[in-house]
Amino acid sequence: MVSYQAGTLKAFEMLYSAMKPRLLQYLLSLTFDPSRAEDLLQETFLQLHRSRRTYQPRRPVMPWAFAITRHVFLMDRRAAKRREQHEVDELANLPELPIPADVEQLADRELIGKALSRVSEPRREALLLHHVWGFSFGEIGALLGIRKGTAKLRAYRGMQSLRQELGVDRTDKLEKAK
Amino acid sequence: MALALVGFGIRVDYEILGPRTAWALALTQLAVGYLLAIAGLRMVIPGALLAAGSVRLAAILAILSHVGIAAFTFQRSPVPVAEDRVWELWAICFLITFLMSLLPLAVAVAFASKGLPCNPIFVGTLCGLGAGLAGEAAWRMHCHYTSWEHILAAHTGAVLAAALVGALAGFLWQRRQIALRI
Repeated sequence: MVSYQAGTLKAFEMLYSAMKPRLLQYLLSLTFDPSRAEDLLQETFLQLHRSRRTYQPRRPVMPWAFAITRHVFLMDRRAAKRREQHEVDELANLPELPIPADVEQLADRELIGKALSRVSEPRREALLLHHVWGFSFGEIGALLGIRKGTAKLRAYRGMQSLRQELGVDRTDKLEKAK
Repeated sequence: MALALVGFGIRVDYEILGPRTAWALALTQLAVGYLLAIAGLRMVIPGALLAAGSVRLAAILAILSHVGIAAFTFQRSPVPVAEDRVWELWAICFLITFLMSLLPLAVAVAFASKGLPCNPIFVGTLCGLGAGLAGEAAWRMHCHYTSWEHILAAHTGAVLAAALVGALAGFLWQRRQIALRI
C-alpha cells in the first residue's frame, strides 16, 4: 500500500487482485445486486486511488478499503433515492452471499443466504465484517462510526437473528452437543 | 484572536475579570472549538471514524461549556446592554463573531472535502460548531457585555449560525457527489 501511495503501478495491480474478491463480496452483501456491486467495485477502486493519501501506513489496509467501499455504497444509495429507483427484490434476485463459517454446517448455503438477507442491515453488516472478513470489533466501530461495544452487540444479535431465521436456537445446539 | 485584539482592543472589564481568568476562559473555549473541529475532520478519514454518539455528546458538552463560561463571566463582571443599543450591539457582535468563524470554518471544510465523509452534513455541522466556538472565543476578548440576552442572542446565535453554514457546506458537498452519480 505504501508503494502504491508512492505511485507504483505494479503495487496497484497487486492491491487490486488482493482486495477485489473481498470488496465485491462486501458490496454484494450490501446491494444484493451483482451488476450493481460490479459497478460500485469500479467506483470503489477509483475512490481508493483518489483518496490514497488518506491511508495512514500504521493502520491496516482492509478497514480503510472497506470504509471507502461503504462510502461509495452510501453515496450510490442516496443517488438512487434521488433517481427514485426502487431497490431490487432482495429475495427474488438473491446473489450468493458470503456465509459465516460458524453457521455453515447448520443448513445449505442457499438457505443460509436467504436467512442472512432477512437479518436487519446493521446487524448483518457487523456480523459479516466480524465472522466472514475477520475484522476486530474496534475496527468495525471505526469503520461504521459506532462504539466497539455497539459493534459487538450488533454482531452478536445478528448471529442470534440468523440462527432464529434458520430455526436453530440454543436448546437445539445443546442437544446436538449432547 | 490576534485580529480581534489588534483591531478592536481588549475588553474594558479585563482587570475586573482578572487577566488570567479572561485568558483562561477564552483559551479554554478556543481549545474546545478546535477539538470539536478536529473530531469532525477525523470523521472524514476512511476506517478511522469516531463513534457518532460520542461525538454528538461532545458537541452538546461543548455548547454547555460555552454557556458555563458565559455564566461564570456574568457572575464575575455583570455588564448589561443599554436599552437603546440592544439591536445595534446584537448586530455588531453577531456579525463579527460569525465573520471570525468563517476563516477556521473555511480551513476545516477545505480539509474535510479532501476526505470521504459518510455523513457530510454531520461533519459540516461539527466543523461549523467548532469554528463558531473558536470565533466566539476570540471575540469575547473584546466584547465586555455579559448579560444573558446579549450572549445568547448575539454570541451563541453566531456560533449556531456557523454550525448551520457548516451543515449547508456538507449538504452541498453531498449533493455534488450525488449529482456526479446521476
